[in-house]
Amino acid sequence: MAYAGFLIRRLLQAIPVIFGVTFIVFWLIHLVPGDPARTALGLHATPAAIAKLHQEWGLDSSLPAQYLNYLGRLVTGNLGTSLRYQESAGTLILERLPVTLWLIVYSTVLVAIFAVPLALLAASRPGALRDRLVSIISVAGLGIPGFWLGLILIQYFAIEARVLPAAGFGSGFTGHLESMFLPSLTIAIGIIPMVVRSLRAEVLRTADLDFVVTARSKGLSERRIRWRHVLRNALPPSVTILMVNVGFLIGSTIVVELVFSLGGIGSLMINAINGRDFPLVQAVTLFFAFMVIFTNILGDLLQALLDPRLEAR
Amino acid sequence: MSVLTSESGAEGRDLLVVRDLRLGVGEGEGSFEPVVGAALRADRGEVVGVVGESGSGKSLMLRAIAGLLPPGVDYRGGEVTVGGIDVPHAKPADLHRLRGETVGMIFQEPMTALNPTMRIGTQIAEAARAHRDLGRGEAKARAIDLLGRMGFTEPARQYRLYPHELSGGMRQRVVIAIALAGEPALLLCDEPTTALDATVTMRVLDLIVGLVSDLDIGVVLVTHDLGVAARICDRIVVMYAGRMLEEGPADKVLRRPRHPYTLALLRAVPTRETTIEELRAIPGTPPVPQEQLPGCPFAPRCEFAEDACLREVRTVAIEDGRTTACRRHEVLAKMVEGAGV
Amino acid sequence: MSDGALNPSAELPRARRAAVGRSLGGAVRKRIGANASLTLGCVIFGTMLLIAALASVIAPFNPDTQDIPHALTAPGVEGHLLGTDQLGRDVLSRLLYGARIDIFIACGSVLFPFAIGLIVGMLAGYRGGWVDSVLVGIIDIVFAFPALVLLVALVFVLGPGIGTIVIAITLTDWVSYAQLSRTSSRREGTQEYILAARTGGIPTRRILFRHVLPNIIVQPIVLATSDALLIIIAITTLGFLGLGVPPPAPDWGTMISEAQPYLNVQWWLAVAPGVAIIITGLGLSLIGDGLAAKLDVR
Repeated sequence: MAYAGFLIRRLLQAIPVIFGVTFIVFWLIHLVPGDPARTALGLHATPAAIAKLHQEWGLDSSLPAQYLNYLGRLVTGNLGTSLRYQESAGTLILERLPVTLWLIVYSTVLVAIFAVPLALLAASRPGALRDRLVSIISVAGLGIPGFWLGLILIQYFAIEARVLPAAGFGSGFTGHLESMFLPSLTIAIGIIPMVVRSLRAEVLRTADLDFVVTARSKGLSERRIRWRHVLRNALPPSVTILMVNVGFLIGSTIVVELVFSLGGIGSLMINAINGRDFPLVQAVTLFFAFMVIFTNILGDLLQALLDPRLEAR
Repeated sequence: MSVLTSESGAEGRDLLVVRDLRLGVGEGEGSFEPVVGAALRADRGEVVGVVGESGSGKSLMLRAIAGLLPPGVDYRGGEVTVGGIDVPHAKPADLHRLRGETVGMIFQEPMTALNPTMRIGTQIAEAARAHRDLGRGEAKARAIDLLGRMGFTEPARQYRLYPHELSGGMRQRVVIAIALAGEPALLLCDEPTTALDATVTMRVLDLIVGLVSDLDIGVVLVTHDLGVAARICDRIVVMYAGRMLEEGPADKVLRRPRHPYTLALLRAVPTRETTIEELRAIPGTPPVPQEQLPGCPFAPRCEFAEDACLREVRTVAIEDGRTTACRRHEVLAKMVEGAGV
Repeated sequence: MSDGALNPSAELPRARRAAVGRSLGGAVRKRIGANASLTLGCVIFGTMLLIAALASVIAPFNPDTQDIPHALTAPGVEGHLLGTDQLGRDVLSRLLYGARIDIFIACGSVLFPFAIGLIVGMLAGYRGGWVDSVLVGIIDIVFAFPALVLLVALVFVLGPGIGTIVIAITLTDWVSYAQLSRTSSRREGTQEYILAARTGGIPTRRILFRHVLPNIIVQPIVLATSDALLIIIAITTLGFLGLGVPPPAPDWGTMISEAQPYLNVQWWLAVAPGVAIIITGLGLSLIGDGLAAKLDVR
C-alpha cells in the first residue's frame, strides 16, 4: 500500500517533465530552417501539397494554439501520421517495440552478468593486479564506438566463425536469445565500463562503512559480511548507477539496430530521418523520452523496495 | 620502556593485557607509529577508562584489542592478550572466536554502526548465532530478551524495526545488545556517548554500569570526556601521543594527578566552581605522530618540564598501585597536595 | 578552510582521511599511478592533436583526390601505406585529416557546453529561488531524452554541417555541466567565507567569479575530459548514421560507414578509423582518470 502511494507521488512528479519533453519535441519542427512543410516534401512539391501539409500540421495558427493542439492529439494517443508510411506513428512504433524492448532488457541483463562480478573482483583487493586489470579493461572499453564494435563482432562471430546470426530478430524465445546476443552484447560493452567503475567505488565505499566494522566485531564470517552486509547495501546505489546509464543504453539501440539490421524503433528513427519524415521523427523522439521517464520511475520503485529508509518517504 | 615487576604476579589472572603495544601506519619512508608503548589491563567486574585527546591513539588501541585494525595499520610490537588469545598472532578462526564471544564492541556513532537495510532484531540475532548453535527461533528469542534488557518496552514488536526508525540513544542500546549477544567477557566501548545528548548519555552509562555487576563483565571505555570517565570508571589510563602517561584508581588519578598532562586535562574541564579565568587551555599543540621525540611527548607543552624530560621517558610505579611516566611526579605531587587542583 | 581553492567537495576530507587510513605506501603508489595515467594520456592525446594540426604536412596524399582505377588497393601498394578506399582515395591521408576534423569539432563541442553549463549552473545554484527551480526543471527535461536520440533529432532538423553539430551537442550536453556546477555552487554559497564576503559588501559578481568559480571549477574540468571522449564517439556516430560532416570531408565515422560493404575483404578500411577513435578515446580517458585522482575529485 505504501508502494502504491509512492508510485502515485512519483508519477505526479513526472508530470512537469512530461510537459517539458512534449514541448521540446513540439518545438523541434520549428527549428527547421525555412518552411518545414517544404523541407519535408522536397523541392518539387506542389504549392497545393504544401498548403495541405500546413493545414494538417496546423502551421498557420499561433504557436500556443499549435502546442495545445499537439497536446490534445497526444492525450488521445495520436502521435501523428507518418509521411512516408502513411500510417499512424503510434502503430508503427508499437509494431517495432518488441525488438527494442528485447534489446534493452537483454543488454541490461548482460551488463549485470558481466559488471557485477568484475566490480566485485576489482573491489575484493583494491590496488592488486586484478583491480588494475579490471580498471585497464574499463578505461579501454570506454572509448570503443558501438557501431564499430558491432561491425567487428558481426565479422568475427557471424561471418567468419559462423556461430551466431549476423542480423535479424530470430523467431521464438531461443531464436531471439541467439539472434539478439551480439547486438545486446554490443550495447552492454559500451555500458559495462561505466557500471563497473561506479559499482566498484560503491562496494568499496560500503565496505568502509562503520556497520561493516560492527559486523566484523560480531565475529561473523567474511562471506556473510560480504553478501549480507556489504553487497546488500551496495544494491540500491547500483540501481541508481544503472538508471544514470539508461539513457545511454536506450540511445544505443539506434546505432545497434542499424548495424544488425533489426526492425526496432531505433531503425525506424533512422528510416524516418532518411525519408525526411518529420512527424515520425517527432513521434519516435517523444517515445524514447517516455521510455527513459518510465524506466526511471521503475528504478525509483525498485530502490524503495530495496532500501527501507526510502519506504517512509 | 620498563615493565613493572610488582604487577607481574597479577598477569595470569587478567582478562586483558596490553603491554608495550606499538601500531604502525604505512611502510618505508613516511611510515609512522600512532601508538608507541601503550599498556592496559582489565578484568571482569571492572570499568577501565582510557582517557586522552583525539589523536592520542586510544581508539586505535581499542581496535587493536579486537583485532579490528583499519586497513593500512599494523601491529609493530608488544603484546595484546585477551582471554588467552594472542591477538596480533591469532589465526583467522581464533579472531572470529575472539570477536563477539570474548569481546564485544560499542562504537561512537550509533547512526552508522548499524546496517541500515537490516532489521535491528536480525542484527542482534545474527550476532548471537555467530557463536552458538542456535536455531532461528532461539536466536530471535535471545534478541528479544536482549532488547528487553536494554530498556525496549515492547521488544517483540520493536524487533522488526529498522535503525532509521529509532532515536540515537535507542540505536546505541541496539549496538550494546549486539555486543552482548555472544555473551562476551569484555566490552570495548569507543566513545559510546559522544554522539548522544547529556540525559541520554547518563542513561546509557548507567546501563553499562548495570551490565558490569549483572553479567560480571569487564569494560574498557575510551573517552575524551573526563566527566564520563569519572562517573563510571574504576581505573583510569591517561594516553597522550600514543603512549600511556598515567594509570591508577579513578578517584586517585582524578583527584591527585601524578602527571602534568592529567593535571592540564583536569584544569581544562569546566565545573560549577571554576570561573572562566581559572579555566585553562593547554598551551601548544599535540605532537604529530610522524615526529617521534626520544623524551616525554608532553614535555614541549609542560610547565614542569626540565631538560632531562626531552631526552628520556620512563614509567615508574608510585603509591596505591599507580604508575606515571613523569620523572618529576614528586614535584607535581607537592604542588597538587599543597594547592588542590 | 584556508586552502579552499583545492577543496571543492564536501566529501574531500573523508577521502583524504581514507587515504591516510589506508596504507600510506598504497597512497604513494596510487599517486604515482595517477601521474602515470595522466602522463600517458597527455602523450597519446597530444600526439593525436599534433597529427590533427600537421595533417596537411604529414599526409602523403590529398585526402579527397579520387582515383577510381586504383580503388581498394591493398596496404603498401604504390605508396598507399593503408591502401585506398572504394573511390581510390588514400586511407592514411583521410585518417590524418579525419583527426583534424573530428578532434577539432570535439574540442569546440566541449567548450560551449562547458562554459554555458558552468556559468548558468553557478548563477542558479548561488541565487537559488525560482531561477534555480527552473534550471532544475530544464535539466530534468533534457536528461529525460536519451542523449543520442536528441542529438540525432536536432542535427536532423537543423540540417547537416559542422556548425549544426556543435550547436546540437551544446544543446544536449550543457545540462551535465549545469547540474554539476549548480550543486557545488549551492554548497559553496552557504560556506562561511562566502557569507563573510557578502556581509562585507563585496559585489555579487566579484564573489561569484573570484570566490565561487575557483572553488567549483575542478569537477567540471575533470568531467570535460571524459565528456570529450563521449563527444568524439557521438560525432563519429553521427557520421556513421549519415548525419555527420558533409562529404567529401574525411570523418572517421563516415569512413567506417563507407567501409561496411568491404569488411569481408578489405577489413582494414573499417578497422583503421575504429582504432584511431579508440586510441584518441584512450588518451582522453586516461587524462580524465589521472586528473580525477590527482585533484581528488569523485
